[in-house]
Parts: sequence; C-alpha cells; structure tokens
Amino acid sequence: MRHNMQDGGRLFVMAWGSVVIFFILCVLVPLFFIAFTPRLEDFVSVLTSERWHIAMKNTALICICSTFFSVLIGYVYAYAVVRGNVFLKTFFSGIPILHLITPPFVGGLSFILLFGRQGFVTHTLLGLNVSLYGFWGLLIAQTLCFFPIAYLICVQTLHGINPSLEQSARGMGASGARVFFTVTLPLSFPGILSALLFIAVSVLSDFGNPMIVGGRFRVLAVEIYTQLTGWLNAGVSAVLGIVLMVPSIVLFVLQNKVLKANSAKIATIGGKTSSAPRQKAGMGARISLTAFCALVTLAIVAQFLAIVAGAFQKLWGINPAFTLAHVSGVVRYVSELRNSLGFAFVSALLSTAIACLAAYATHRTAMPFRRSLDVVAQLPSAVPGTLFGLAVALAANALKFRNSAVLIVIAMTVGFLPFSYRILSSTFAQLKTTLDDGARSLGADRLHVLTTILVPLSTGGLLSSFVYDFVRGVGTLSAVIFLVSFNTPLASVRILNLAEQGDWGKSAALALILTVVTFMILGMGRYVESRFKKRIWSE
Amino acid sequence: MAERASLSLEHLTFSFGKVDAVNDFSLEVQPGSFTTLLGPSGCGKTTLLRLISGFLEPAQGCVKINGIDQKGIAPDRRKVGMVFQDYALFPHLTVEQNLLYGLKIQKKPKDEAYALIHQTARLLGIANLLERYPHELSGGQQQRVALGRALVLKPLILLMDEPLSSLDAKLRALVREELQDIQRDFGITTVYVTHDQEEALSLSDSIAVINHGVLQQTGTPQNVYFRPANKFVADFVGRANFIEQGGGIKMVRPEWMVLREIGDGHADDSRAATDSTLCLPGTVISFAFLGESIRYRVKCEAVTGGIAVVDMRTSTGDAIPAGSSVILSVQNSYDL
Repeated sequence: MRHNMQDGGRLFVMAWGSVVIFFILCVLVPLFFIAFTPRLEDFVSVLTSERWHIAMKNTALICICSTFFSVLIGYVYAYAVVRGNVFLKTFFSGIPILHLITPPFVGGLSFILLFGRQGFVTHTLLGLNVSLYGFWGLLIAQTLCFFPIAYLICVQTLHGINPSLEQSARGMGASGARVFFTVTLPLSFPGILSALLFIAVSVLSDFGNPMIVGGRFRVLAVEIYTQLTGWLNAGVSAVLGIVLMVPSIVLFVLQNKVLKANSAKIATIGGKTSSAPRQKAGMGARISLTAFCALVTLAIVAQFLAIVAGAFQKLWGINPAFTLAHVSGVVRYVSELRNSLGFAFVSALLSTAIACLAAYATHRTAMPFRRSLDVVAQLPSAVPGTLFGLAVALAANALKFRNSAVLIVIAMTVGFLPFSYRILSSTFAQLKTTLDDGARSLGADRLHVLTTILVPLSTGGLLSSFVYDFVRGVGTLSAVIFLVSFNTPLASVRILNLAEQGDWGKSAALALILTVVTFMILGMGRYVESRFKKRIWSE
Repeated sequence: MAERASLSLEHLTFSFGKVDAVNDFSLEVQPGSFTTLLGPSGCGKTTLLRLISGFLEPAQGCVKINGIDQKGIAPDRRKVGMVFQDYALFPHLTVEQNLLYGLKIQKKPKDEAYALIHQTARLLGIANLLERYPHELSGGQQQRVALGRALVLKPLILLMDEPLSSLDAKLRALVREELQDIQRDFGITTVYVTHDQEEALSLSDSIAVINHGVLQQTGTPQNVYFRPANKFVADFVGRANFIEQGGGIKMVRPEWMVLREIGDGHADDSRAATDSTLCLPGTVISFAFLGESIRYRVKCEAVTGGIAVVDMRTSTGDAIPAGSSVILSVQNSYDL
C-alpha cells in the first residue's frame, strides 16, 4: 500500500511506455518482416498454381460450412438452455463451458481414436476399414471445437431479449413456433451475426484440427506450415499467410462494426430481463431440445472417454488389454509438460497484465497513442496463428535472437491479447468512471487507481482472461510450431507428433495427464477467486 | 478546522470539440463561503467543477486557489475534495477503508489517521457504520461517507456535484439542512452544483446562475430571487410572470399577485382602478392545491405567453373555480 506519489505517476508513464514498446516490437515488427519476406515470383506462383487454388477453395468451403454448423448448434443449444426449459438445464448449461476450458488437442486426438482407421466407431463398432479424415472429419471436429463460443455469444443475446416481448406475441395469439420465428429469432440476429463473424475468423486460422484430421483436404493454415517445414519455402509460406489474412481482416472489421451497431441497438430494445415468468415451451419441444442437448453432450463426453480409454489400452483398436505402461511412461515427457504449463502460465499472466494496462489506458486515461493501441491490441485476432508464429520466427532470425522460450512466450502472449483486451475492456466499462475520479481527488495517481480500485473490482474479468489464455496456451499448436526447438519441447506438439506416428497410447496418456493437471490448476484458480469474491460487492 | 481558502476563476474558457461548454467565466468565491453554481442541465456547471478539480484544463483563463494558479497541477495534487453525484464510494472497501484511502496515500501515521477518521465519523454521525460496506448503507449514509472521505483530507476547497439528486424528496430536505450545518462547522470553502433552485436558495451564501456556459448573475439568494439580472435568471430561479409595459419588462412572482373574483362582492372595478396597483382582467383556467397555497393558471392577455401563474395563500383550501372571471392585482414587481 505504500506509494510514493511522484514515483507512482512516473511509474505509470513507464508502464504505459513499455506496453507501447511491447506492441511495436512484438506485434508490428514481426508483421513487418512477413510483409517483406516474399519476392514477386512467390506471389505469382501462389496466385497461378492450381495447388494453391484448391487450398484456397478448400479453406473457403470449410470456413463456410464449419462456421454455419458451429453457430447453428451453438444457437439451438443456447435456445434450449435459456428458453427451451430443457430437463437437466444446469447440467447442460455447464457442458459447453467445460468443453471451452478443455485443451484443444483433446478434440483432435479423440477424433483419431474414434473415427480414425483403427477408430472405435469406424473400425471396432462398424467394422469398416475407412477413416473420416478429410472434409467430413474436419467439419465434425471444427463444429464440436467452435460451437461453445457460439453458444456463449448466443446465450448472452437470448438473455438480453426481454421475455415480455415473447409473452405479448403469445398474448396476441401466436403459437410457440410462430413466436420463435417472428420474435425470438429476428431479435437474436445481432448475436448470431457476431458469432458467425467471430467463428469464421477462428476457423480460417485454425491449425490443429486440419493438421490432425484434415488428411488430404488441404487448407491454407496448414499449407503455411508444410511449405516451410517440407520445402523450406518461406516466401510462398508468407504469401499464403497474407492471402489468408485478407478475409480475416475483412471479417474482423465487419465484426467490430456489428459489435458497435449491436450495443446501440440493444439500448433501444431495452435488454433488461424482466422478472416476469418465462414462456413455457411445449412438451414436444422440450423433449426434442433435451435430446439435442444430450446428443451434443454425448459427443463431448465421448471425446474425454476416448482419451481416457486410449491412455489405458495396450494398442488402440487392436489390443484392448488394460495397461498402465502409457501413463507411467509420461515421466519421459516431464520437460514437455513443464514447458507447456510454464509457458502457458507466464503467457496468460503477461497477456492479462498487458491487456489490463492497455484497456485501462485506452479507455480511461488520455495517454498518447491510445487510439492506435486500441487497434493494434485487437489486430492479432485477424492474424492466423501459424502466420504470426512464422512472423516471429522470421523476425527473430533476422535479428539473430535465438531464445526459443522467450519467442514462444511472445507468440502466445500476442495471440491471447485480443481476447484478454476485449474481456477487460468490457469489465472496466461496467465500472463507473467516477470511481477513478473519486480516487484521483483523494490523492491517488493513475497507477494507484488501477491497482487499488479497478483491479480489485475486476477479479472476475481478470480471472476469465487468465483461465482462457492458460488453457489455450497449454494446447496451442499453430503459433508455436515454428518456434519449438530441441531445448524447448512442448506437450501439445509432442501429442501431435506421437499421434502422427501412430503411438496413440502414449499420445493419449500425455494428453490425459496434461488435461488433468490443467483442470487441477483451474480448480485452484476457482478456489482463489471464490475467496476473493466473498469480499466483493454485488450490486 | 480547515484553513479557509479563497478560490477565483478568471476568464475560464473550455469547449468540447466545437461546443463551448464554458465561456469567459469569472467568479470570486469568498473564503469559507458556500457558493452554488445553478443552471439547467448541460449549462456547463459540471465542466466548471472538473476545471476546478483539475480533471480538465481550461483552454484559456485560470483557476487560482489562495491566489496560486493551478495550471499543470494534477487532480491528485490539488487539495480539492470532491463529492460525486453517485458518491463513487469504493464498493470493495469498508466505510473505514474508504475514509482511510486518501490518508494512506498521504502516508499519515496510523494512529493519527485513525484518530482523524473517528473524529470525522463522529461529527458526521457515521461512527457506528465503519465496518460496513457501501452497499449496506442507505443513500443518506452513503452521502455522508462520501463527504467524510473528502473532509478527512482537510482539502482547501470542497466541491459537490449534485450530491442530493439521488435521495428521495423527504430525505433530501433533511440532508440539505445537515449539509449546511456540516459546512459551517468545518468552515470549508465550498462550491456546490445543482439544477434545483430551491436547493440553491436554501443552502447558499452566494449563487452563480449559469446558462450555456456563460455567467448570468452572482449574488445572495435574496438578490437573485428579488432582483434577477435578466429574464433567464428570473425564470430559472423560481416562477415568474412577465408583463411588457411601456418598452420595459416587469417581472412578477406568482405570490406577488392577488386574485379577486369579479362579482363576489369583495371586488369592484372602480376601486381597483383608483388604486395605484396594476390590475389586469383574466379567466381562471385551472388550479392546483399545494398545501399552504393554491396555484392558479389564469388566462390573461397582458402577460407574456397569455397565461399568468398566481400563488394564493389559503387557510381553508377553498379555491376560485375554473372558468371564473377574475381581476389580477399586482402587489409587487421588479423592472428587468
């Protein structure tokens, strides 16, 4: 609590300065290198070769399909939980959240175990000698992977629709289905649109799923990687990344526009949920919506089960005998586990801290550069992870910087920033600015206001930011795949390699242990938060 | 007790983009006085408070406290206390921690700080609330904590931004009286912002009426009420009727007129005509019973706008019915 005021003022300026320098060095400089790597002939070859045309078409196709189905499932699931009055509502509402805090490799790996050539469903149950690798597999994997995000956005939107609007439609004699199609659905459009745009960007830059289950169905995010590792063709790789960035940036700009328009619109429809009892869905709708939720839940639970089963089976699909060998063998990967958890922890901490300072300075102070920083902080969400990893690798190479641990942490931190920045901006926006002024008039400098007022009042947002960053950090592949070195092996990359080699038992065991440790750390976080929350005011 | 500081605003000008919020505004605030900035919402009074407290810097002109120009001094260094409209109590801190917040930053020794807090809390009648959190307090209690939080730091100037507006009517009247007592006890130079003329009249030593960022008039409450500088002040501070006569405008307060019903035996035109008082014919449109008085709306051609507002004291509550023809006799008026 001791604080020298003059130093505090200077400290804040220094903190802000370092944030600005971080953004220049770690975001803008790498992107600058990417832009100047390719030669003209690289552009020509990419734009004329049929191989790349197919990759572009595939990328567009899977982007449209996966986005559509993710949002469809997310919206129906959200409707079922918020308005559909399904059975086991609390249980079902928790499932997408659980899925969201599960490291992403669980999805890809379990897909191999369930639908691969030796897959439980394809081989053991159906006796087929085929796999679902390719377009259909990728569609299923991505839909399952991204629907929880759509679910979260749609839940928010549905909660914002005043039930009395639906009731008055009901009162005018409309049937349940009619109310849904003429009132609820149209009022959900802003949320649906926002989910579509957000997920489309995520699908475009998704690397893990197409890498593991894409098979011969090539997409740009993976080609960026194969071009560099297989052919050492950094120029073509960079051009592919730039091509991929174009739609990402368009979607990103659209999304920001939609968000702005939404906040204006919601103000006019009056988002306040009235305390009036919700309209009850009919029994038929209730049962079918419950069945739908159960099916989605089953798919998610099957992923976990597949990992657990895979970790304890001698040879998946061939020798189902129980064994502890794989799990006890994880000892070999202690350094991978340590690195993954350590880097994820540091990156999550860093990006939450940087986002916190940036969100405070851009929205609540008059510091210089804050407008440009507002854009730069959100920019990485339009840059595909693979491309950014490549950018960091190229920049580091040119600057002769070879500490891969630092580079991994930078790539992860920058990748997480847009999410953390957004969540903290909206958390701060809920706090009245007179709190800042009040503290200032009592003698607090800017840094003091941040640390003694805003941070203690934003523990929820800070923790969500940290948790989500940490989980993604543990499972991240795309941003770090160019940066791992012999000295800095990562568990997520090892899981991928083991799975590619057909060492499914080892891969599943490592995934299982990493997931369990991640959940344990999150559990501890929850505990700390609840201790904090007790002291925080609820209006 | 606090040092009595003087405050002077000299030719302050500030604009938000193209909109002038404050224009060439000058005001002397006497040491230890209670001065109110009164004006409609959007008139620039909150901007003035933010200029005094240092959250905004004037484009032109200066703010002087005890004769010292405050230019470039950040809000946390100005020794200006502020009470906000929504109180801005820190919700995660107890009342005691809220009161302690500024003293901790000043690094006051612990025992001294606690002694100061308890003394202030006793004076404000919140000594029994120290362990509570802000959300466990009533509006009036929150208001006193906000005041106490500013006062423990012994600021040179105390600023209050519509501090009563979130209280209900009855509590507002009560807290208003307390506020006046506290200000007198502490003797601190206070600038108070409100759009409520009744609040301004009852609380202040001096009132500054503002419109569109321009100072209209300063003076004692009596001065402003009885001798308004212009039509805006007359209309904004209390109700006013205007009568154009011989090139000039007379202002007449509703309680400065008496209504007489024609043909009720009390009044006749001949007697009114012989008096030196101005008498105007009219018709009652409607009336509202206000308790101690009845407020009439009277159709009267001679009054600007065609409708006069007249307050008549009543002890019986009997009113002249709507539609009655009346004579308005003007007992008192002020030439604008």
